[in-house]
Amino acid sequence: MVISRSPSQHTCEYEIKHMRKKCSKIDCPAPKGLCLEQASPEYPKCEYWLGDKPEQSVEEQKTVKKRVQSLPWTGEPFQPTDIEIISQRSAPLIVGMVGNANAGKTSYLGMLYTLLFNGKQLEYWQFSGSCTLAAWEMLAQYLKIKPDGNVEFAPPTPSNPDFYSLYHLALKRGDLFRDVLFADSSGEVFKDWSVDVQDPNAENARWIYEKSSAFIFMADSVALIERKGAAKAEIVQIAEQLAANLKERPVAIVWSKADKINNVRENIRNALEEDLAQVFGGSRVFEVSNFTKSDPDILCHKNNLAVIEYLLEKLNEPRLIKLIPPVSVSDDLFFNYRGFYGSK
Amino acid sequence: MAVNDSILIIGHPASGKTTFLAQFLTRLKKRKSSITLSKIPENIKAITNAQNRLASGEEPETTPADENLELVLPIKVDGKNIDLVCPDYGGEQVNDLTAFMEIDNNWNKLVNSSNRWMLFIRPDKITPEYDLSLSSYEDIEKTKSTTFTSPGLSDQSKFIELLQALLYTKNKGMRHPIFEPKLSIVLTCWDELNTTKKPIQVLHEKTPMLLHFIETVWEKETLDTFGLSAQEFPLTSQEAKDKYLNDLPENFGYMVDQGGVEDKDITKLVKMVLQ
Repeated sequence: MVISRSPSQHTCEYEIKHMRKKCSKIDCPAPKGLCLEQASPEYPKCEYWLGDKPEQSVEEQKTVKKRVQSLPWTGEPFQPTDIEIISQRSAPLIVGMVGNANAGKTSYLGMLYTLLFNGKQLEYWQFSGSCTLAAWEMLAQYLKIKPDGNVEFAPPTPSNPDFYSLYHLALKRGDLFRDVLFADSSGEVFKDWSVDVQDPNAENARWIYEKSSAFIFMADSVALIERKGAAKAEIVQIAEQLAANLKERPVAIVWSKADKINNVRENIRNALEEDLAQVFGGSRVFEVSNFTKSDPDILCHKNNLAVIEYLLEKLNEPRLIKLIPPVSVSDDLFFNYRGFYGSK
Repeated sequence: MAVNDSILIIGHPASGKTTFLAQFLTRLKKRKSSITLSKIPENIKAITNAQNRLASGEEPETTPADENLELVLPIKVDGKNIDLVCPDYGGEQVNDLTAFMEIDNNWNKLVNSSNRWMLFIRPDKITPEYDLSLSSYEDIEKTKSTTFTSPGLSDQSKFIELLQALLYTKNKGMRHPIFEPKLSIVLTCWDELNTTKKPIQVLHEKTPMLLHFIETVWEKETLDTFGLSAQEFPLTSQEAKDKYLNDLPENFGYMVDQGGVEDKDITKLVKMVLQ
């Protein structure tokens, strides 16, 4: 699939900016809080400004504005600079979404929110809010049944190297509190990164790889049915690169669109399972789908949530700390001296 | 300002705040309750209209959303002075709060000086939306959208965002269960639901994630859900209007307690919120 790299793919952010903020210019590249057309205090004079169009002077406007305090979050997807909003209360866990284009990374996140929205719950963790509710709602809308009875899935995630989209959930388990950020990304970018980690167009993939505490690795069942060995090769390529510098970070291997998994050629499925088991060691494998066959449905209702639960459990496991100091062996008696107790 | 003895009534436009306050004040004035007015409220302009309409057997008009009138009812409950504060009659500021993520300074002050919040939700206006997770749509036609557009917040997320914003304003973190402010969810226009369920069951059906959120964030004892039908029935037919004209508005309306038991005395709602 060819995905445009033009900035106009960025519309999600600007659409929300349009709705929640007061600038209506869709492709305005000015950072949040600044205006491209007017100097800082003059922004209400910009033709795209939707807020109060004052007959009053800008000074008077500022006085009026002072009566209102902005909240630190907007509901839009977090950018890396927004992480400080939550990092004061806990060290956030970033979960990187990794997989080829069209593997279902964005739809997975949409379904995760949809399930919580409809009252499904994680087994051990409780939902205690989100700073990106508008962003989650945007993802979830693509799983809704449209009035004509059809469903229109999310468009491809923009593949600009500076595109970041982090979705936040606050979760609690007893006294434990975790801020989790799901880092969505374009499959194209991860594909570029998998063949050259220094690819100049894969800046966001590098960031996600470096910062994530855990990964959801998606293998697309339908791509394996349609493109067979070629799809398998691409999946393995990304998996190997993901495993290269993993440093014991947990990975959940997720077969997406798994309602079709039985149509994948058995030899391809077996070969991929073997390869992934070899690459990721003891990582658990999940089969998920956005289509339900019953209620409750294992692939949709249970497994989509079980992926998160598994990663949280893994991240919560106490890490082994090596307490035994390295013992140096030397010919020199001075360096071999272990102190009074050592000589007993 | 002392951080106690103040109940904040919060709700989006047309969530039933005006009708409740009109009926509540009428009952207090008729001394039909153990709650009394501790002094005459300074400004009741916004509910006078509603009271008059109910007395004439008419539905109260929805307060224009941009009418930012503040209503304070100073009441005495079991010898204790309480302010029942409705900071934003029309509800526009509540809408703005989640649309622009800004909090007005007056709201900020009231949120910080209150120790009990009553959140008015009108459940009959929350309609279900169908998505892939709800039933079998295996054979549905699937396409890919071409643009990301924001649908805005659903009702359920608006309530969560609103509570998050108010808690942030009050400097309440989510790490530990919240004891103060106490939160009471009031499900209004209960009669429109035609149900025998308990209020919490209705809240679970309509907004399960909101219920999950408040049950996680608030300490169990500081959380209540009630039903309220301040009017008892719609005043659309002549028969209904005549009932109001003949038997007087203060004799209509009921509340539903946590156990699902109806009580004709809607002022008890405030007593229960204070418990």
